[in-house]
Amino acid sequence: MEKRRTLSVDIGSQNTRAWLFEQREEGYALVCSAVAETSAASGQDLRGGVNRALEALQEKSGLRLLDLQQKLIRAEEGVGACGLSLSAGKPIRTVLAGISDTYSLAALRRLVSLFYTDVVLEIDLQSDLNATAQLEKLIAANADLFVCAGGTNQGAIRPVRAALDNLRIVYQSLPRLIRPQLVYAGNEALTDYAREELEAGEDFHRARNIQARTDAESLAAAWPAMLGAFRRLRRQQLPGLAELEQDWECEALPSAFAASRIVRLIDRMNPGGKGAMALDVGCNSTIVLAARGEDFIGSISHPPISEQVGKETSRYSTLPIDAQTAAAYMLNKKLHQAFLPATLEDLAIEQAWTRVRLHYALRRTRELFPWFGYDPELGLLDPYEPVLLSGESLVRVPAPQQTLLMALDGLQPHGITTFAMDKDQLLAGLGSLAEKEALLPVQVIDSGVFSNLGTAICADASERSSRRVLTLEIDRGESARETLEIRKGEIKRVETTPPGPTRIYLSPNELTDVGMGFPGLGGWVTVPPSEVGTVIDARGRPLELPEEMTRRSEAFYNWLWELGG
Amino acid sequence: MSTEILAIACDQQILRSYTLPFTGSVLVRNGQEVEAGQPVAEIQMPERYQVFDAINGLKINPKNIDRHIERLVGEPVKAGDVIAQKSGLISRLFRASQDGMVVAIRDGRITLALGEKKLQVLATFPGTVVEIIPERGAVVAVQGLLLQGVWGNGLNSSGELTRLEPTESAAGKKQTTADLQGKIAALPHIADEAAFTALLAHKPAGLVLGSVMPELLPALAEAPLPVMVLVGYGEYEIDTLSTAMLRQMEGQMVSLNANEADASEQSRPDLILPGKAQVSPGLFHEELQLEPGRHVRLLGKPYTGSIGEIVELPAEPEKFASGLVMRAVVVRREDELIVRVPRENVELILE
Repeated sequence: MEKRRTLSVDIGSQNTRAWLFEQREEGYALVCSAVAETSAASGQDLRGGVNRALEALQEKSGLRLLDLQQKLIRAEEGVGACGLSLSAGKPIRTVLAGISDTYSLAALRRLVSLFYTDVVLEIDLQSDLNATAQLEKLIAANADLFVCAGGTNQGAIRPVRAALDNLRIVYQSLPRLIRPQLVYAGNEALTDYAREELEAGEDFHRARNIQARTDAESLAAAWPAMLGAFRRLRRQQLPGLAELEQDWECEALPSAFAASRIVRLIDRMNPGGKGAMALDVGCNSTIVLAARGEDFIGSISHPPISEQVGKETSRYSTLPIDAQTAAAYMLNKKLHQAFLPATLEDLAIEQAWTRVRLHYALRRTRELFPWFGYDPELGLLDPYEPVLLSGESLVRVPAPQQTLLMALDGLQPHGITTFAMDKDQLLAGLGSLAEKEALLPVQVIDSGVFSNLGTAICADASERSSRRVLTLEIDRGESARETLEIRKGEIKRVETTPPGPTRIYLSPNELTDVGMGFPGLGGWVTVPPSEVGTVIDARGRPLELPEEMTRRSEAFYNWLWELGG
Repeated sequence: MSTEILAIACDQQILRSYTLPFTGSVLVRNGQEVEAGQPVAEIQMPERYQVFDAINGLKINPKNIDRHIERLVGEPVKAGDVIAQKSGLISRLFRASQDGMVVAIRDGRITLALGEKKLQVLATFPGTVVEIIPERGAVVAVQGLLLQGVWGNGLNSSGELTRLEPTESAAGKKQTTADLQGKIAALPHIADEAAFTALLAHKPAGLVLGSVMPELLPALAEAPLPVMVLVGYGEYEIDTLSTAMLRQMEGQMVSLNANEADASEQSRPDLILPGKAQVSPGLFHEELQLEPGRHVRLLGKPYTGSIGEIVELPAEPEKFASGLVMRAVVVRREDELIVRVPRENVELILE
């Protein structure tokens, strides 16, 4: 009997990745993955890059996937379901129109943050902006996407009606080549009026009210409409996408949105857990995804390159590098995005910049979602486990210890958490299949496709440097137990190698909080085998770094050495 | 892996699409010769919009609003025409302030599109129209010298190219004695804002810089004239091929198109010296790839900006000093030094 095969492809701005899955006796498993250069520049047909990725996949797997016309072989002897995700394409120029800054506009910012948008204009319908000025601004924005919300289901309608009138003029009057898309996610009493008023046919996307009541917000209510708008825009902008969707009988998802499905799934796989988080640091953007029960947070940020970022990067460098050198590296990397660090100096800047990009992305996420437990000084206050690390800057690293230290410095977590690594950069690939093959992501995750990087035990103590803050008793199932003392300012590693899990008893001093409820409380922790091991981070929050550049880089070097990297 | 292509070419077919963001009128025809600055396509658009709230503006009962509006949607209006009025002892009028059209009437709100403005897309170098893109624009081609850079501030201009020696552009020194007014000036490096400001005082038509320090970027981006950077940020010499190209162009009328580099569009800023040769259609799609004998420009310290020839493309990935394992390219630099660099860290030169 032929094995059931499933294909997923993610088209990024630089790379097109393809993954082939197969249903085996024990469940779905990843057969192999391949990558090729994306062909979306200058109006090229993106099927070129997809076919090259599939050819590479054929070569690796030894399976025939393409026929003589370069079409995907489907049905029993070929591929069953297909998934497609997309982050290629320019950011979508987006206008938000909401009835107030603190309610609907804030919610709209959160809504569009996962859809590769660039918000070029926000209109607060309660501001003093007159209708003429509003219309002029809407026209000047030259936007691809207009998202309008406002009012609870029994709320005000007049300002929204006036805005819809202006949106209709913008939509009908400008002979744009790429037809703009209109999403309405406001007062449901006005939905039909909005559809009739705008006369935009399939370019109008109706959503349920994201704020049906003053005390409730449901971004998910507008996700289908946003997905519809995203797809219609990208089909116009990216030649070959519509044909690919038709041939493969699937609809493209924004990559970050697809990845968010897996983060929500991981959270659901561990009910009552701390919540799941994923961080993807790439050359263009940083994605933060976090899910805990019904609560979901997701953002894509594009950190600026500025003098300040140069200074911060210099501060986190493992080699003494000044801010100007760091800024020059970052600007040159922006010019040549495929550039890879070949020297130790370049690697030091790249990894320091990754830490800074994580800080920026978490700050930005906090701005969008004020309830997100992150403090720029104190780090990630909310517990999440696991924290899944993905993206070139975190995955394409010489040693896993370096990835773990970047994540610890970038997040500055508290308590106990586990870091996993998405080496195959599978998150989006699994997410785009979740609807078609619901079991596939679960079984592939269970097969261990994400590697266990290590467990971090962060010991917060208001102690002076070098004072003992924590004692560990390590039980590896052997007769003798090891003891390890941890002092304030230190970072230490306990190897946790196969076969079995390691049990560690944490005995904090009375001022030390290891995340077990309150300071001084300890207990047994069972940690599975992992690449780096268990890392005890007693450096404190905020991370105290020496002022002098050489001493600072020595500190980073020593911390990395402690982790064995 | 994507290989960046950098054109430093002597006899290159240069093709550029000039298109409107909206559907409009194409002003050129196939085979037509166009000059730099000549409109290729245009669209007429309203100069401005006006929204008038007749209910509140004229104090009209909303129920009777239709009685007071004198025009229909889509109707053209002349300056001074009455659009809505409330008659009585003291009549109130809303008149069009400019020629235009009524574009909407909803809930007593009247929207007028007033005046007219042209949005044009202009050719940035002289050439021949080789393709018409219906309702949008055209593709213009020219055979000539092409020198691409890595960064541009989005502006363009034409002028005679003049090269400044390093001493003439040294930081903070106003030693430049050359007459730069209306010319495109090429110089190896600008170290600080004082040197840049001093250079601007000579009123050049555009600047071609080898490299710049990062802190100068905001000033370059805001500069009122086109600025192109050839190599990158930091202090690097202009590579020998680009220097040779600048020498060839010196004293001639060149077009500086300091487009913003866009990796997703594979577009770069460039300097063009249009030639007299006929456009040769056979050269349209040359597939370039890394192969022995090709020239590349190296990226990343300590080799940034140096040129070399590919001598080998090892099949197996190699471990570099950073610890990363990457596929390498072996390059013989012009100083005969053989270096191994990641394949991602080179720009393949189209000569």
